[in-house]
Amino acid sequence: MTRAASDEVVAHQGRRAGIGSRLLADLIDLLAIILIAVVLLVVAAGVRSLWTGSFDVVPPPRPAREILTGLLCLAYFGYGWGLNGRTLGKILVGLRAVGEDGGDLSPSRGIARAALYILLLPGFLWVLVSHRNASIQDLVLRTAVIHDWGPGAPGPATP
Amino acid sequence: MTAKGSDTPPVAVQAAGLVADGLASALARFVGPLEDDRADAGATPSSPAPRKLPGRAAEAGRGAARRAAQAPSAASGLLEAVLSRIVPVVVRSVDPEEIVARVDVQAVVDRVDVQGVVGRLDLNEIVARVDLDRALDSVDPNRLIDRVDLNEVVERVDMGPVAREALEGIDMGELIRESTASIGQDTVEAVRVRAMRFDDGLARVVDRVLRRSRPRDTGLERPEAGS
Repeated sequence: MTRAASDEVVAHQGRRAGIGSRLLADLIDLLAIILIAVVLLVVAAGVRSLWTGSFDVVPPPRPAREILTGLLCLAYFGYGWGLNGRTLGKILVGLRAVGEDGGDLSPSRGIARAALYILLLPGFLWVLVSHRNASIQDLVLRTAVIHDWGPGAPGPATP
Repeated sequence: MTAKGSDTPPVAVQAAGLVADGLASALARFVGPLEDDRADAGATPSSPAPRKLPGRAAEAGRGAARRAAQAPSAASGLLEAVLSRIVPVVVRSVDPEEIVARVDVQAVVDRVDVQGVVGRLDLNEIVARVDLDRALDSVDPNRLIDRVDLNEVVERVDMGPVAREALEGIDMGELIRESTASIGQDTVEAVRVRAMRFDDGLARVVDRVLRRSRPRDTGLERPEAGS
């Protein structure tokens, strides 16, 4: 990493992330959720095969499919944000969900944030026009998504 | 046999002269001074009267004394004549090879204090005098390399053990892990930086469309210290 890029990274640490970084992290999370869903379907097919004798991966019918998908997303995002503010996507992109004061989210606040995202997904687009890079969910729950590369982040450049 | 460019007679002639002088002095003491000597020295009243020898014996003694007095020059000539004949014969008969063969060179060498000689040498000064650059400039590495048949050298090397030893010294697992982690980390950081720049660029475009003059406030509401 060049010195200019390093200075740029340092300047962004702890500041609210824009829609591009957040969208990239969410896309990675979406891929992770799909992978988990496939694994769960395979496991379910294996358990079912113990009774039926045939291994068939069959997705659940509606509306159970939407309910199970919602629950999976709730568990995934709620667990990540409520535990340390990071999901897999946010870890890779270097983001963290925090309170407006920079503190960690409680598990209940993390689950509530995940629920709001599932129920009001378009509210995410408010980041694009928000003067503080905040989504509707952030404004309701007083949360924020900041750049946080963790311990591996480059330090301030010394003269 | 006189020294070239010098009037000094050779040592051998001088020695012979000395011997002859000694003989003459001894004879003179034994038979008394010659008449000429006596006439030259002058008789004094206090000097003892010469001993009178019988007639023929006295004459023989004086003749011997005269011959003895002339002996140095005669001996010198004789000695020169003898030496001029003997020396060439001796020189011809001397075999230098035989002389050298008789010399115990090892004993001579053993007596030489080589360590002492080496200790007296200032090797640093000797090395400093050597112009290595000039010596190296005179070496043509391309010619040296051209003379070496590298294919033959390589064919002689048993590459199996060399390769095994080299591979044993390398922790391939750790090397792959480190390189993979490094590549992965570089890729992740590059993606993060690109995403940051994309955010900033998109925000500027949106703010321009929305006619915002102030930049976005992306800082957190940190609680005041002590509050």
